[in-house]
Amino acid sequence: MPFRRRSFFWLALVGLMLPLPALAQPAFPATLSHAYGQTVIEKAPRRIVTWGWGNEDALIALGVVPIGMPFQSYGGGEDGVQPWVDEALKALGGDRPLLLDMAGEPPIEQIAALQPDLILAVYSGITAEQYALLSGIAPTVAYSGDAWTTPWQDITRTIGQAIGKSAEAEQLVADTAAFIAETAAAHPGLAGTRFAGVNDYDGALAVYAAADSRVKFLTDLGLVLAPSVVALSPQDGSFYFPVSYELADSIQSDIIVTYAEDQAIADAFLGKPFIQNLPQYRADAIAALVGTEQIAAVSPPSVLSLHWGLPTYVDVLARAAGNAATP
Amino acid sequence: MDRRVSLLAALVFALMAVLLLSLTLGARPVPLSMVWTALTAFDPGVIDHTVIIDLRLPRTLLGLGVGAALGLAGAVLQGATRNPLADPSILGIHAGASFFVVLGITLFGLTDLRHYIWLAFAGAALATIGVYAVASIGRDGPSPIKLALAGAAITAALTSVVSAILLTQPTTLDQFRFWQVGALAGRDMDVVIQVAPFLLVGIVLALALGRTLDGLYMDEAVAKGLGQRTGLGRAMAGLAAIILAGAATAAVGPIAFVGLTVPHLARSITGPAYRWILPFAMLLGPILLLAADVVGRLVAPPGEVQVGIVTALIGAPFFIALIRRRKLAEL
Repeated sequence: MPFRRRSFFWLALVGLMLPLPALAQPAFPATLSHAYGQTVIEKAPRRIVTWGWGNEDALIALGVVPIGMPFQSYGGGEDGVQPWVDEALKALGGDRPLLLDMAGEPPIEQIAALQPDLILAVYSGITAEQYALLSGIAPTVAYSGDAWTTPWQDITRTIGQAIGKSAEAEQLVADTAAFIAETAAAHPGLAGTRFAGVNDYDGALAVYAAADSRVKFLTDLGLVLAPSVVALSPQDGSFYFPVSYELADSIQSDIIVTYAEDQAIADAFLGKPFIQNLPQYRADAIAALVGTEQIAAVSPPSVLSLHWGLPTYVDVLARAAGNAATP
Repeated sequence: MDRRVSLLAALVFALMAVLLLSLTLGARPVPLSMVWTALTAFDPGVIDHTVIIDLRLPRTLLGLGVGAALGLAGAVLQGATRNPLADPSILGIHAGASFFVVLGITLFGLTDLRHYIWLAFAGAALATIGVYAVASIGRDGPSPIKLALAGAAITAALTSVVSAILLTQPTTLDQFRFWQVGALAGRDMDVVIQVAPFLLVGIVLALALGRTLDGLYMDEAVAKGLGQRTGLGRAMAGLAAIILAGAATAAVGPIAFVGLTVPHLARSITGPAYRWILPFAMLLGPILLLAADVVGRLVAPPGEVQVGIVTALIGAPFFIALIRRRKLAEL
């Protein structure tokens, strides 16, 4: 029942925005640590720009509309706004954010012209130079740890702290985790299913390694990364590794999860002889998530995109898991 | 008997050995007996058989045709333009093919390699014709230097447009990236069948150009004095190069150094006569390309290294050594 779930989510969101009892300590000044040092936010920000991926999701889920956010070409269609962001913006009302040119480097002049008082690049890959330029415009929060790896829980908490809504962010994370658990529980066949995430890339199979955010999220759903994938994975922390087409059958798992931007790409991949000879294919245990919006919603997911994309994702996974040959 | 005849025979054997290696060696160890039964009694349910028939056979045939085409195209271009550094990239062929493939992905959302072929072909032909047209302006016609300059200019122009599109269209970049590297892997028999007629026509045409190129290679005035129709000769050479390099690039993406290195290698064996350089280049091209492909399959398990990367890695130092040894003076 995606519609009922979504309505419930919006009720919860409105609830979050109601005035809360005074917190034990004042929210500002807030000090946030990240890959390029510490950023101090003196007072509650009013004009926020997001940069990267999924930052606006967490901000909007916390009831704040950014004044500028990146044009998301992946899953954002012609408008550059992903459907779950679009729905949430419509629900919140007010001015639509200015869409920033997402090709390549952050558009410094475009961002400066917005006169922001906070720049959120919590899930991003901004460089030290880009960070220096951005923090010259406004206090900027970069990623912690490695670029493009921050989990949705941390994105939500960090953004919550930056805008003085830590308690709401904590609640949002808890509610979202509960939603994931509830959705997964409705498909008991998922728990313990051994999966391999595979795509066709650069003339070889690309197999997603443990460091990949899609893999992490699948394990959140109760699936298990197949031991064959763990054994083949390089130790350098790459998101994926190549496997020759000739060795496709060395990827042993209950199900194969693959992502295709459209049905033609999915059909082309599934039509390859080396795929059709796999036991997973013969058992009809290949879960293909098709469409950029669907893929964008779960790789990696955000507190907003999950509610939009998880039901379809879980259906596709559960169908494959149901067909998987029992070992 | 001419020493070159026995060397040519030796190269034929070397090529057959490389073809055999390309069928038997790969990421997956397949016993020789299994390779034989795959070829004689194919069973689509046996994974070893499908590896040989669906993966190694097409890439081997493609390596054979594309290697021969690149070797010949390089030799023809070097002879016709009297430019020792001529290869398919210098006449704008790679840039033209890339430009059209990127346009196809961006404007029409094409994602299938089989569609790229026709785009790459058209782009290669248009770019080469453009280079010839620009170089033909002026009294002395398309001289080698003007051809090289026009090729460099058109390559620069097309490459910057390609970069501009790729920078603003990240999804195009993803699609384009694979084609751009140059790989024999992942091309099925359909690709082989599509390009085979072009490769065959181009090879026959190029091989027939031996005496013409020997004539063109002399001074223009001397060639004319000997009764050669130099304009027609150059046009035929250009046509052969477009067909060969266009089809090769269309099928496997731009592959560097084969077109450049192989003619020099052939020349170091045969001496300066093009009627000998051409058949040697035709045999050396696939030997180099397939050997590079086999190396690429074995060095990075469980993955593979694309042949375009291996040829660049092998080709660059090899070419430098060749220049140092021969000083290219014999051109």
